[in-house]
Amino acid sequence: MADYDENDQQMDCALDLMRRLPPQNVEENLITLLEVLPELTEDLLSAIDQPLKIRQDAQAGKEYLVCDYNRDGDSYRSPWSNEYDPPLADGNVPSDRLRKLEMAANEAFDTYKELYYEGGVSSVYLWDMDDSFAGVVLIKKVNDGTVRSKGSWDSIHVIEVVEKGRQARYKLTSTVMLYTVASGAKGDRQNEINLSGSLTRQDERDLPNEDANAHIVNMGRMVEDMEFKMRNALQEVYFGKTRDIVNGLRSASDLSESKNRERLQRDLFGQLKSRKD
Amino acid sequence: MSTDDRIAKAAGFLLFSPPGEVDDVFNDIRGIVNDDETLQQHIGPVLAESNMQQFLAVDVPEQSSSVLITPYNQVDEGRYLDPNTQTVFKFDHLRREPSDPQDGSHLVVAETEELRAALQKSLSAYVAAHYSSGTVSVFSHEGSVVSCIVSNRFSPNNYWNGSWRSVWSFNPASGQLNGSTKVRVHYFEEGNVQLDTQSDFAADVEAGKVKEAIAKFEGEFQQGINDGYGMLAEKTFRGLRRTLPVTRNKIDWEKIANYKIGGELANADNN
Repeated sequence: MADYDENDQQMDCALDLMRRLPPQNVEENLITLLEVLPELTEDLLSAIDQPLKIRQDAQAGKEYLVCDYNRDGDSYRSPWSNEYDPPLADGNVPSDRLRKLEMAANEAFDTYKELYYEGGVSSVYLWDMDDSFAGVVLIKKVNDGTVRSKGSWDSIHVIEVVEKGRQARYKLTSTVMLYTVASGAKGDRQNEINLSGSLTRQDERDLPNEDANAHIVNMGRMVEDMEFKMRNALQEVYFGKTRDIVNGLRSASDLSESKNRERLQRDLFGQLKSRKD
Repeated sequence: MSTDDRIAKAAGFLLFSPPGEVDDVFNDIRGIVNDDETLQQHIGPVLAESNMQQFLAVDVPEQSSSVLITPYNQVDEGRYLDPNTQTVFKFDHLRREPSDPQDGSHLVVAETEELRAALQKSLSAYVAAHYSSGTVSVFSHEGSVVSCIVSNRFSPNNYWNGSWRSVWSFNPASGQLNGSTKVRVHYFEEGNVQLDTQSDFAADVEAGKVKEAIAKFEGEFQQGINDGYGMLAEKTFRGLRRTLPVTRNKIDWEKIANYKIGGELANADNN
């Protein structure tokens, strides 16, 4: 019992720490954390989001995304061929029924990805649970076309589904990682502005599950609505809030000048008012 | 890796704390390590380095003056000089407490003191004019006059913290001014978003124009940050994901599900 509590405390502190360390270094930070807490490796790998990596499925001639959800040991499963790379004799795969849904979901979200991201890579992985199933919808888009700036967007949508007759309950936990870097005028690390990190949101809905398409439609709508909200939130936080904070640290204009201006305005207003009365 | 190595690595995380969150990160490290005694052995130097990096502002004991804790006014381990009151004092990095003030007039550097005092005066006025919560301390250091500026805004209840830190070193013999400015912002409501930007400057200036040069560079740096924000918002972010598809409508999921997948799922049902 004592060990369980200690692990809990360590996990809570590790997760809080990852929310404070610079997201710019999330990969190195995780590696160091695993060196400090090797006994919690599996828990940390599944709890801490990392930027998605892209792999090539040579067999299918398509790219796919890798993360902890399609990992088994040191191998990763492609959603297109359903095979592990490097190959595994009996790696974890979804049941036949779930695999069909998984294939359909990959097709649907591939279309979604094209319509919103006009490029990028998507992958959907499903896994069986006791009374239900769960899955993750992954999307990655990189924009490094210009010398002056580059960015990348990683969506990680984890969905838990519990079927209840003609309805199903869907619980969505979404994280979007957004990395943006503007280079200095000389194109080097000098004057580089690195504005990066992630936001996480949740949603839960009970929706009708009355035909074969229902899960695709329901998950699709939830993810689309969530990304709509999160895109707005990211824009506001990144380019609104943090920018305001910077300009609150230093004022480009002389603060005493603006204080004088304010005092002048107050005096003027006072004089005008007293003339009216 | 030995336990000792692991604890040393954990302690090292402290140096990456966002502004205003050193205590939170310290508590996380304590919870992770779960061995206060061994952690104590490693954390001392890390805390000292962290405080000096952050330009911690402290009240000088028995003086109505404050000074920044930096590598440039460190007299020896755990002792710092306030050149404005010529006081040397002890500083406990763990409790962040100054104590034991002593006369430090022997530590004044005669050759650069006039320049240092003048720059302290003009930069104090400059900082008051541009930093609503800023502090500047000017020190004589290895033949140069070093000015340290820090401006912090902490609002953890609103899930954000920010810090602006600059160091400007002027060498009167060569007339060279070297500077480095670093800005860090952390937003953490349901997420972890951080701004990290810094810049280095170098120029030749007259001794009487140091303040003007600093003001100019810092103003340009701030403008550069704002320009960068504009570019990231208009170009980089826009290029990643559209607000809506080209159709200007949300997706018709029934259509997508039926069009491509109808066959697959119908087969699944028949099994």
